[in-house]
Amino acid sequence: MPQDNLVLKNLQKQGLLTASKPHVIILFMIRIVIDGEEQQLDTKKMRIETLLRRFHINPETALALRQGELLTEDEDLLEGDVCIIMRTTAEK
Amino acid sequence: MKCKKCGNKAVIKLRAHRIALCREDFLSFVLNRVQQTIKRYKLFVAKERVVVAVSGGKDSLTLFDILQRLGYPVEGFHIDLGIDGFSNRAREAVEVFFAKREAPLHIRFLREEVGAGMREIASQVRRPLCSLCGLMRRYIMNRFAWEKRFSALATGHNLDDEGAALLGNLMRWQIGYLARQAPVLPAIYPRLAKKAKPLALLSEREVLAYCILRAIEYHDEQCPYAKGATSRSNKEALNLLEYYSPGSKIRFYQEFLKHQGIFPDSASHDLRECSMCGFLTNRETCQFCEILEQYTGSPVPVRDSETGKG
Ligand SMILES: [Zn+2]
Ligand SMILES: [Zn+2]
Repeated sequence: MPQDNLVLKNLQKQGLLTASKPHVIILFMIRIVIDGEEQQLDTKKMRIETLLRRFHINPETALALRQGELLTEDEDLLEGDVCIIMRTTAEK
Repeated sequence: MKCKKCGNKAVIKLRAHRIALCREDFLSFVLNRVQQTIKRYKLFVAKERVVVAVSGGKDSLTLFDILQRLGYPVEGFHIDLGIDGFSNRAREAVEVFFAKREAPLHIRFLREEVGAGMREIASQVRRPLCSLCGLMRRYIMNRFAWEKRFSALATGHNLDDEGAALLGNLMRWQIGYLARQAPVLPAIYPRLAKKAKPLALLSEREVLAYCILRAIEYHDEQCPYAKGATSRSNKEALNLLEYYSPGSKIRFYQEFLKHQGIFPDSASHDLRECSMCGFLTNRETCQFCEILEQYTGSPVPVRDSETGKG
């Protein structure tokens, strides 16, 4: 699973997954879908504003949804959330 | 964030208007904005028969939804471009949308209008396909609106579309286009239907939010023949300016409309009737008739029986 690999890589980078610490249990994770592609953030909490900035998305061209509900950029995503970022830049 | 109108939880922040709104207040904001556009720029009045060009995308379906809610007697018009798969899915989205609302829908097939679908045309022509497709769609839409005696043809162009077109016209100093780019193009010539863009003051993001909140199921797929149109980079440039200075897009467009008179409209003087179909062109034979001759060997018959006399 490519997503799992991504998480494992991140954990390795942070030194959380090593030979001496083989049983890391992932306690927190936020899943986001941008342009139809799923990505995972191993964080407990993140503001939509911060998320958009991290992915270089202009808030004027995007909307964030959680469970089908529109969110303003001051909302926090929490662990277990699935957030879909819809972008307006598609051609007609 | 709280709704500026009622204090409930906001679902969207509109930086250009310095407000955040809840679902209900945002939906009314959108309806009011469209009604204001229709009145301010005199697009049409309540009793006029309006046909909405529906591609199946979010803008055109949203436009139809809004005009219907505002009480205008609207009908839909869809052109099936004959692009395998893509066009079928677009038409299905349109048919489902209209069936749900029990609203009148008219469908024309490009294959029947010109004797070939976009796929066949794409394999034979060298000119940019999007401009050719746009030309044929505009022609067929205008002819349909005029033949069926609709008083206006409405399209789903939003503020981002209009802003990008304006920027493009300015970058190339297309004076003739600048003189005519507007939310309404009146029917000042015979066989020319009035064109209206009721979403011209709504940003693409606002249209998308409306579409999501109303759960409109639109056709969200890029045309397989669309290749990085310049309108896309113009939109991105304007949205970057909008990010640094909220309200830039709407000011850019509305201030242009205020001062548009400075651009002389010389191109309109060259317009004449096509020798084959009778519709307006700036040449002897219109480009549509040329395409038609290429694919069917016969021009469009002049339909005098449908001139709107009775
Ligand atoms: Zn409210
Ligand atoms: Zn012609």
